[in-house]
Amino acid sequence: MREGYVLGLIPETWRFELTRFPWVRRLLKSRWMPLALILFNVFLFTLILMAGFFGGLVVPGNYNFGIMIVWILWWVLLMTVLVPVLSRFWCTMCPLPFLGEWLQRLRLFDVRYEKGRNPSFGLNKRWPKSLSNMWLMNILFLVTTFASGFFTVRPAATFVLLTAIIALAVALSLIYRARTFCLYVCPVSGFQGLYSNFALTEVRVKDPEICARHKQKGCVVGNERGYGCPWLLLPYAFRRNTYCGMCFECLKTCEYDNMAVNLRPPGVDLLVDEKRGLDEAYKALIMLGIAIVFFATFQGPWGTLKDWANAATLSGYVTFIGLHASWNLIVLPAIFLLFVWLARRAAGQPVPLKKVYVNFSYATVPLGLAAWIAFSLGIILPNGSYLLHVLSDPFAWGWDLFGTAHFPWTPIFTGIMPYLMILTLLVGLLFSLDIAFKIARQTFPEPEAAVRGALPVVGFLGAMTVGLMWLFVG
Amino acid sequence: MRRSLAELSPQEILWVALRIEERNARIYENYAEMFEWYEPDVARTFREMAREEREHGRRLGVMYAERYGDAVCDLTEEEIREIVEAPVFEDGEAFIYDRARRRHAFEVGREAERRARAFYAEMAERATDAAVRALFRELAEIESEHEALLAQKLAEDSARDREERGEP
Repeated sequence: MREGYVLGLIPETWRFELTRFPWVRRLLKSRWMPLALILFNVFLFTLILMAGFFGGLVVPGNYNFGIMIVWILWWVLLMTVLVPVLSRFWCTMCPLPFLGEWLQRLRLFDVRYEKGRNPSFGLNKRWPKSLSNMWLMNILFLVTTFASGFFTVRPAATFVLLTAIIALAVALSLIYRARTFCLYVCPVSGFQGLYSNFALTEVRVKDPEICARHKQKGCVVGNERGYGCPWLLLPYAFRRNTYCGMCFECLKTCEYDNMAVNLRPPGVDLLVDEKRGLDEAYKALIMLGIAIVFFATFQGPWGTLKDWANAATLSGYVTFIGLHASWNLIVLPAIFLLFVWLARRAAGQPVPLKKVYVNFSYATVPLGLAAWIAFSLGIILPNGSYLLHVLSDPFAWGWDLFGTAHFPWTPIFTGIMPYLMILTLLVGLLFSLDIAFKIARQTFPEPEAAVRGALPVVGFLGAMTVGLMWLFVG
Repeated sequence: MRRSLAELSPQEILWVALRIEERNARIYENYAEMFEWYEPDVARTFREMAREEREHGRRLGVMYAERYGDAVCDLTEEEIREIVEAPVFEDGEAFIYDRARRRHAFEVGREAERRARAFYAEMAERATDAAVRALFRELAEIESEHEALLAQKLAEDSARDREERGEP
């Protein structure tokens, strides 16, 4: 394939600036953006929490507004549209850190700017260096999935999870600076960050020369128009989506309108050969691993596995946790290590094994994302019609707000669903292979060694794809 | 319309060089502000570098006054096509990974001085006017001294780090 092209077709450097349209720039520079979206979601999540509480304690079951909106609508939208297309746009409008950020700023709408800074209420401590990575998010997300069997059938579980996240976000925002919770703790943030490197959208500087001459970088320290990057990035210099929460503060603070929102080819950030780390490598593998476990458990033919996950018996539940954790933390990373070891051997280059392992892990991202999109299809197509039911009767109080409370369960496209899933997976595999060969060239400088080194990783990606396809149709 | 530094008169070149030192002092002060809440040690280093840039600017100011007196050039740095000696802290995720240390600040400065030295040296090679060529060489030499000074500080910092860690 042509060097410097995504799938040999689109130049990796291709960009289309969405903010070239004055109305888009005006919208993103307005202080109503993203506040209006956040306020809408605060309202929605209040309903979800109420539904989780009332519906959960009074009428247990999965015909619940909270369960349907969070685990069917939100999750599916997140995995199929928001992350692959719009990067971390969910973080733009996420209501979970809203209270904490409000307390830090002591302002809802306008900007506090005093003595050359945006003052922040709270202790404003620095997050410990040892935790300044994705490890905590990896563990928290994995631990959260231990309860995945409850979330979809027990509204109270969703209520407890969301309440705990909000409480933690508020507490941490009073102790630590800026978006510490989002950066290092939020279980959803980690995979969004990693998978957003594949996304079609980015926030980036337009002309670095303007920033080089600029004496006062408001995008970092803030000014009267906006806050310094709450995600602790240096907006004039960052090169990948991982930690950009798309809050658009940098568009507001830049005096030269030198920040842009761009459309771009998929996956280009996965090729940014800097800041790669074992924490992100594990995140990639854990996400792929959890997708496989979820398929097997919730969409596979093994009822016993589902019973274990749903904690039908304590011993079964403990077995599920044990298998789930071992598969994701030990078995899959070890299998990948074996293939990476073969890759290094095949390449015959003196590159540290850790570097080879970390680099190639980024090639699993497109496949992992495709697996999650396929899994989401398996949720929305059979169960999407439930949404109409709960919209009319959100608290299970017998309401019929929109006349759809008795809409019958109507699965759609379930006949072709396995083929859609396979197609999705194959597209993911194609991108993964493209990335794998490019990463091989970054890792092993000699071209022939790079091809030899890529082959075992191709084998791993192929094996994972075949395994997932077997789960879809087997 | 922007002009190349090579198209300027010696007086204008010296004027711009002086402005660049002042601009850099402001940029270092801004970096110090950025790092103030994050790593006071790095912030202090940037402030120190801002002071040095001001001192460099003062020396160039003396040189300018000796040659051209009080004459002011109607020229700003923004009117120059090339970016000379702009210090850029390029690690966009430094705060996230909590990685920035004093040496990173020194490295930013040393890189800016190195680029400035290389740029002035190249301009000297290309200059056809003898007076301009001589001035560019002089500026390259000054930047070379600045670069050496920062390299020395970097070495001292590394030695201090090793000492703190108890390494030989």
